[in-house]
Amino acid sequence: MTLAARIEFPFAAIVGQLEMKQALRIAAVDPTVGGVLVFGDRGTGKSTAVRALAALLPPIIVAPGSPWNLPPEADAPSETVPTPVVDLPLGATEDRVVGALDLERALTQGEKAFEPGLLARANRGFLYIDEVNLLEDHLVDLLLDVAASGENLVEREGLSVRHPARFVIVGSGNPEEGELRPQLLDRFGLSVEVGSPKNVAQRVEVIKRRDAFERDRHAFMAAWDDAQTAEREAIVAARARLPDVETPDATLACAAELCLALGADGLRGELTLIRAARALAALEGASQTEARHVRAIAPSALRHRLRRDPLDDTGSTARVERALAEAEATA
Amino acid sequence: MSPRDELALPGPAAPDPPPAGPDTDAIWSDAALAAALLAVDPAGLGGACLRARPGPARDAWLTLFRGLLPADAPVRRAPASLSEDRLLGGLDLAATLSAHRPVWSPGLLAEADGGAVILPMAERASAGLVAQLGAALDTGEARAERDGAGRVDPARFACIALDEGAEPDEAAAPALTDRLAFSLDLSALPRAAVPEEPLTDAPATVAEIEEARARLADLPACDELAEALTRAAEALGVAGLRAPLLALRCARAAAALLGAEAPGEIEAGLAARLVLAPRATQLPQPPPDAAEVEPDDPPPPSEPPQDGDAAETEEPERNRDAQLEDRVLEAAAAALPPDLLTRLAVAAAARTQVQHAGAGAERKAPTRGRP
Repeated sequence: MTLAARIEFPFAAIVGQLEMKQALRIAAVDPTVGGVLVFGDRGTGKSTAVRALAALLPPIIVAPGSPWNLPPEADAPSETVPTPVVDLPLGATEDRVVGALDLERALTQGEKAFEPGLLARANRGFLYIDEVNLLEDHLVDLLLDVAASGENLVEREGLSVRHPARFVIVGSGNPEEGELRPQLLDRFGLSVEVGSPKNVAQRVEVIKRRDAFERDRHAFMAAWDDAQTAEREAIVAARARLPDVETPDATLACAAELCLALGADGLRGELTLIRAARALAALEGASQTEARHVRAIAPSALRHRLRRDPLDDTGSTARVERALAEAEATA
Repeated sequence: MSPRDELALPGPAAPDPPPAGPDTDAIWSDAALAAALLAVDPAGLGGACLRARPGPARDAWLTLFRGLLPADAPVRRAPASLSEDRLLGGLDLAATLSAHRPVWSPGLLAEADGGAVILPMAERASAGLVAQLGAALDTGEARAERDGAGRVDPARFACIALDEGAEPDEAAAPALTDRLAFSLDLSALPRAAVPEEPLTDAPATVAEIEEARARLADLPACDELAEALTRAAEALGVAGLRAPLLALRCARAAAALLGAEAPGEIEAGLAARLVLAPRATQLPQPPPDAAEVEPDDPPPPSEPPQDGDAAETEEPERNRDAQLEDRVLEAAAAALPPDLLTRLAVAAAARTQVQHAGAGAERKAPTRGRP
């Protein structure tokens, strides 16, 4: 069954929300950063921004008919398809996510065949989870395993299939409605908190643009086409530049000191911080990752990895910023 | 004469409702107008949250709303205990086995496309149901990935959430009410103010509503209105950006219904009264350069000082925008509920409570969650 293509609100037309847009760009430039978690109150445009990213991403080259978007063999025919962005809807059952027996073929022809699930379709792309804090626990465990190994292993209904499943998880949710387990939180590379714009002029602009979009989608998309192309080209250029960006030892030391000062668990925080800082440097066109890149992306990379401190009930963003200020003062 | 009257048995003690008068008439007429506007643009306005105990007031409103919708518009009831496969759709097992190929049975959301979904006991709806309804209201689609099939069906409907909460802190989930344009409180409506035949005194006939629907797409853009409504929402402390958008759509629907060329001051005032005033969290502050400074006293709210007429500005454009904004704000402020401050205090206390109390509260492990 094919999913009808929806025209999404263009990424370039989103007003404000600079931290969120930057985090999504970084995840698009370097998928190994590990995904983005967008938390915020209702009505702040979280789902809009994440879905808008789909229209922005450049297409990928796949072998035709490959169920999990594998790149073509050398000298084999290939086709260009848009970067897959797969929605994990609420109420998805495990068989649809992982893949299961092809029911139609079993019923009509009596054959046992594997029907790929959402994880197969998301390979080399993005998996978007709306209301991530309402996800069922066993699905969470499943996604954790697959995200860690990059491979999906299916052992069910007499089938035994293994296929690659490397994707970037993007989740959005409202923290008031439930909390995420720390293990799942840690898997996300970057986290962002969004709120409504405080500035009245910005709010008015958001309403005007949304209204114009809803009244005539095609005209709105045409009007924003140039800006969208500019965004896409910036991401493509940054991806090309990424392998050549150097990371001097001083920058690595800065990142390590910051993580030590905050007491972030494990080494994933530092790895994410360095990768994200390098992607940021690539986006800005710098040839080296510098301490200022690390400092700019530190709140996003670290605020969801901090351990609870019963004696300190300041918010995590404030703790990261305090550690940054102290590091700068002593430097 | 019912047997109860003859024996003069005392009925259950109920609080004396206020006598029917201009205030209670206004409650019913606003509710009826909301029903008419919803019938003009059900999917765009999202729906309404109707706070009332089961009784004649609620039944009258539902009769009115159903009567104003087109005759073929589907209206479905979604009980709070609805299973997910009935909501989203699933495999019709019997038909599948007999036809030897997968046969899909559409869910409630897909069936309600073009009509309305009625959600009784909305204050007890589970977080999952609220999230599913919210997703369908946002995207206008019902997405299902279950039972061996992935489907996307159009699902553009209005959601009527029937809030039967008795205590002030039992209310429908904010995640749902944020997406519904109108919030109608019929709990204080006395029996005398509820019409016997709601459709005879309706604000519009079915034919007029059909015409309005056809006219809706042709209305021009109204940027000054968008600006005035956004600023008014800001002044009233309305959180989030859905409210000004819903108010704008409400103004459009009103213009289509009233036969206006474009939404203007009247429609904007109407939208502010119906959509923004119930969500207000603060009284609008008087502007700093007001000629007279009136004290901000708690209930009843005083109208903000008339700024537009007094100030003489050079640019007539700016003056006109400021006048529109002030008119909109006046309309909203006049409709602010008198017990706004007490309600806010109760709501602030309720926010710390568990959302789905009464279901046998689950305990989550203490190591969960963000620091």
